Amino acid sequence: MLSAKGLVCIRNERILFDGLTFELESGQLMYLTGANGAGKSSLMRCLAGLHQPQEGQIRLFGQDIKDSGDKILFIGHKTAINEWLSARLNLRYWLSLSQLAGDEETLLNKVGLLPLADIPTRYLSAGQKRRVALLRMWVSQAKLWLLDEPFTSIDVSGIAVLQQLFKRHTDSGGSIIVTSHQILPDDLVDRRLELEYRF
Amino acid sequence: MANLVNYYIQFIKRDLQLAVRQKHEFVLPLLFFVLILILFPVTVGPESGLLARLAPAVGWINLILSLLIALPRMFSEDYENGWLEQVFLAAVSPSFFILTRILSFWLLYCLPLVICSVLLVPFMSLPFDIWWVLAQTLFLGSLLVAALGSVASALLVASRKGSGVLALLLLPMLIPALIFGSAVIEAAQQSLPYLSPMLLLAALAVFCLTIAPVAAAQAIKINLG
Repeated sequence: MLSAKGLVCIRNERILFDGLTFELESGQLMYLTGANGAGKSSLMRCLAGLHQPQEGQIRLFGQDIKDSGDKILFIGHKTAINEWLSARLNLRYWLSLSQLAGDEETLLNKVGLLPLADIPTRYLSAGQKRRVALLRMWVSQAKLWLLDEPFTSIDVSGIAVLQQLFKRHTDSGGSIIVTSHQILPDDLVDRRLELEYRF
Repeated sequence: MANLVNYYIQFIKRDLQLAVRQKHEFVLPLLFFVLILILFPVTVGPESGLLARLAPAVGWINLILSLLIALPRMFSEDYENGWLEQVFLAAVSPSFFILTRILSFWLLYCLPLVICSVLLVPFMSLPFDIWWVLAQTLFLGSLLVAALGSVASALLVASRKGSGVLALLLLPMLIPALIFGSAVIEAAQQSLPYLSPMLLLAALAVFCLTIAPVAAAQAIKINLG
């Protein structure tokens, strides 16, 4: 499904990774770990096609990653939440952008935000904002999910719900690459990749 | 096509809703424009002939300076919160999103300034028929400023000190528009036909609206990387 060959990423004259090669099959979850600054987020951005690696090739279903944006769900450190808009409007415009349909009430209810759906998201807590961003996982039809630190600011019950979602996605043939400093249960993880910090 | 129209309507709506919620940002260029129109006659003096001669230039320069206040924000908020990343991962071309943004920017910031330029009539003693011609040039010119400004704004989206550099990038690109704009006004003031320079200005605006979304999308992509 996803293949990365000989990836080289250099940031500010520091080599983050060099010759990185891996593959990910349908239905697999890859747990990407590494120290702060090891290049996890840079790798995720390369895999999303947002950053061009200095060398190497990334293919999704045999297609260059640059042409596969609509097959990828990327949730990075930036949540794409506009703090002046409500959770409902943020969700609505993301659905429009992705040309997807979804019942806003049901979706907001899933993450317990229905009572707060119409107030600007700047009044929500960090965890609640993160939940709004993660709502995309319920509606996305993308086969590959790239989730950079999805558990940040999320409480224990929320983490359990997310892990159930991961399972549902991989069981339905989708793949996930997730970075987290949270330990993931062994039965959820199919592959592990650790990036070493390079000076 | 229906999808694209729906997409366009949705994102114009999004930009309008954001403008309503951030009124302080929205009214700033407008207030600046009106203040300059009030201050100019105070400093130049009450000689109506001189004021009327200067009025078209004041209208154009004031419009450009007022838009320079708003242009740095064209993409900055969406860049900072990660929305632009999602735009580049979506199925619809990012250039189409940029075109939508240029048009909503024009509706929100440029059109009110073009309408407010009618204040040149009482404050600068500009004859109404000349204002009407000037308003048409400002209409086309502001489309051009929005289009070219989108490229400059996209280039500097990751820079926190962008506004000064944005002016330096944008102003030289506006020289042809200013030449054709002033040619139109000069012809109108002498009761000569002004269709040719007006059409050239319109052609410039259409050309910029065609290439700017592609150029701005590339500039944003570089910044996202």
